[in-house]
Amino acid sequence: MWLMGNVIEIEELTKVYGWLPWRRTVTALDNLTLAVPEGAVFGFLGPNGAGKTTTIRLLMNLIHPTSGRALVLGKSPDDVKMKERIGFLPDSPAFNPYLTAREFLEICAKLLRLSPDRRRSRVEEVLEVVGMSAHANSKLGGFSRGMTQRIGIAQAILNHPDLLILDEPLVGLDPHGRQELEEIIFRQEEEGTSVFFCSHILSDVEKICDHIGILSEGHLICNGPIKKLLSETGLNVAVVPGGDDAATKLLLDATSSERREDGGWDLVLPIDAAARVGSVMKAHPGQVSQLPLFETLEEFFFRKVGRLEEKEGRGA
Amino acid sequence: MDRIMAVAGGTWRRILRMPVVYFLVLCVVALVGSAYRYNMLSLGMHKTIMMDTSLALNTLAAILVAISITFEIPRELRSGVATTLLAKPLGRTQYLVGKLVGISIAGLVITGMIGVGFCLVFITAFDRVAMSMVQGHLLVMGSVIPMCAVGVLFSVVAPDPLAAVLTALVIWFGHSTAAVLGGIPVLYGGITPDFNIFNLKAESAHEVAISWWYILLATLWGVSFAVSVLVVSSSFFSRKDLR
Amino acid sequence: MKKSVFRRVVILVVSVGISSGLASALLQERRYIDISAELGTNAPEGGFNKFIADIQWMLLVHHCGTLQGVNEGNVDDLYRRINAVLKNDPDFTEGYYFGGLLLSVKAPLKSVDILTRGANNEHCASSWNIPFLAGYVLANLVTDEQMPDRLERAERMFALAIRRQSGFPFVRSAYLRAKAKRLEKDGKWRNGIVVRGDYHAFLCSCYDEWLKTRAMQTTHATPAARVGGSSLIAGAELKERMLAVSQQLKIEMPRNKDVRRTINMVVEKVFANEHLCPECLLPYGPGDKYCSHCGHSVKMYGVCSYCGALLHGGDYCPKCGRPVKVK
Repeated sequence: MWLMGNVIEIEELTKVYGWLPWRRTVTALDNLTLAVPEGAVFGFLGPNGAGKTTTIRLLMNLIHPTSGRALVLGKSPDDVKMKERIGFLPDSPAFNPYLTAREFLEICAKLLRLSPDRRRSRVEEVLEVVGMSAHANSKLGGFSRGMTQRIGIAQAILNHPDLLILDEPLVGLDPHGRQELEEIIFRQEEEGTSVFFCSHILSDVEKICDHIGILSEGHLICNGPIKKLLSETGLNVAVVPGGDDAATKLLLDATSSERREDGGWDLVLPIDAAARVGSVMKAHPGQVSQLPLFETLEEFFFRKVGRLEEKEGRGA
Repeated sequence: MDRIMAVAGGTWRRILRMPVVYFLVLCVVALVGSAYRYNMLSLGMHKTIMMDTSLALNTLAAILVAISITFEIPRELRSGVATTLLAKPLGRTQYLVGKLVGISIAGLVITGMIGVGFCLVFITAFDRVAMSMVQGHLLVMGSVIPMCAVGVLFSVVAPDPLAAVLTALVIWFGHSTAAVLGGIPVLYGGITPDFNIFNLKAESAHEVAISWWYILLATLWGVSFAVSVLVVSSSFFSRKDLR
Repeated sequence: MKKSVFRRVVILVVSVGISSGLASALLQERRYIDISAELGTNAPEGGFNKFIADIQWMLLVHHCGTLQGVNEGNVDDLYRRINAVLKNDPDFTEGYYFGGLLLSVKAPLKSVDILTRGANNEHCASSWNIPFLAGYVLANLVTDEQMPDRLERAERMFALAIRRQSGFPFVRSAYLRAKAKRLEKDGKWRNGIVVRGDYHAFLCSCYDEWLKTRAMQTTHATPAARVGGSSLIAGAELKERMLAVSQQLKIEMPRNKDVRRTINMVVEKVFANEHLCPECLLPYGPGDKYCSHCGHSVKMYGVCSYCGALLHGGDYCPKCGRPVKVK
């Protein structure tokens, strides 16, 4: 069922590589169903070979699905006109090395059917945005990985896209570059652009994205708003000095405990112990305080991916 | 059309910015010019030999341009340049047409430069240029389009070294089978190529009059054949998964 | 069927149709331009026949430079090399001529083979020297044992050379001589006259040719017949040649019956109004009763038939005033 308000909708998408009978087939995506809401900055995560790039390539109509369907901005990926509203930065972007940065962007602008005047001004604008104005007339062949990545970003935002699909955009960028990219993404978000963002750098994803989806071995194992996913993990409980009775009641459920120098306790309890913490707080007023415990994305990621691997291990 | 020309522009600019192209053109013209010195070795046939050598070398240049596309498209697909372009509002057929137009323009410029260079050499040596020779060079230029189309076809169905070999074989086949297949309608010139249409090198060298009507028909055949080859190429390419 | 697939199929069918139509039209056009297409598959050369021919030609020239001469030991090799050049470039006029010339003495039949091919190639039609050389080799170097019809063929080759280049008198002489040789070889001419030697044969051949020329001038021959037909040599030239040969024959064979019959026939038919002395065949003047060169009595002309006065033109006799009735 296709929902309104989603920029990307994927339904039971499967991609199997290899059709020659004597070659091994590889299932890169297995019945993937996913929706990316409009206006979201969606982080698409997964270990190497999980199928992230395959998904993006399917969305960009660079490869064809074995089964299932996808809609991008409400249109089929093979709709060429739809791409006028999309910005795409491929994994390790490559450009014609004999062209200058400006020439390449002008070719992209022509493909996007910008008028000649608009083309020129917009090319200058995006060069400025990615900090490459000084290298506008340099040949792309001489650019470093980071400079190439910046030009890749420039061509992706050339058309003020409604949807920006970025495949590993942070790779190759120096800390300044990463910060600038973050700013670009925030600006795009402010302009109402939805961002579909695929990365290995979890700390950046955590900073930039408001939604995430985790893919592992072609299966979507987790999908939703990042804050909701990360707040589920547990509680940080602090017990004042002299509150040993209260601490004793809670220690049974605690996943970790630490005695402070002042005699108080710092405890970590799972989220399902919240009721018990509440009753202890009532029984010992003023002695116990609690704060929700937020998992880092990295912890969350490894927990989720690890859990799946464990399940598979048991199954095997 | 703008999009096709945008892709074409990137292609022909790439080729025409290679210094080696101009070096090769210069070498070809110099080689042909040096044939002026062969009057003794050829019993006074140096003029004919110069004309024919220029046409033969120009044909070789056209074939090399056609083969170069068999490396160009797979390289773009492998490196991701094509991915970047195809992620823009550009159809796969438009991409192929753009590549063909771009490589054809590059081929026409290169063969045109060789033709003009040789005409200058010829004027310097003999004070006049035979019209048949100009027509011969125009036919060589016309052959660039269908030969490049064959290169495009193989570049989308085969890996690059194999595509180059297949393209060279088909160009050879198209030049060599007129006497065997020439009488079979639809097959020869319709389905299989007849590049011999453009091969009037001997006639040009012997200054046999070639009608402009023939040149026009030959060019039209080249365009028409390129269209049919491009349709087949596009059918393959639209089903291809790009890495 | 998907719309895009249908569109592709339609474009493909239309473009293949147009291509094959154009290819057929070009094949027809090409037949007017190019003879090479009819001469083989050209398969190994892949369109570079002429270029390969150029290289083979220079190698041949270089090879010839290393030879002491053409002899039985190398004639076959030379023939093979020349044929290789001509196979790749069938329109190479100089190749036919050079090849024919090279082999003419040691292998006249091979030479004739090459030259005949060159002469019959319409793309070498601007060359008169190939058929001339072919005719020369056939008439002078090939023997009757090697080729019984060599003289007829030589005649045809010389005729071809005259049609291509009528400006050279030696080409016409060669033609008439070849014709004469054939007549000499046949032995019999018209009216039971036996051909006696080469001069006599030459006179006969000139007379035959003159008859053809006169026939072309007097009858209503079609333009095609005039172009490709038999009027190869101008009547005035033939008359000049016949007069010179007849005079020579008068000196060399004055008493030969066949020769005399021939000369009388020639004088009667060709020189009827030329007032030639029947003895020395030199012209005499009006009013002469005897030849001023040999003293032989001649038929007088240019005098008034009434008074015998010499006429100087005009309609009336200057002496008797009667209207001129030329004797």
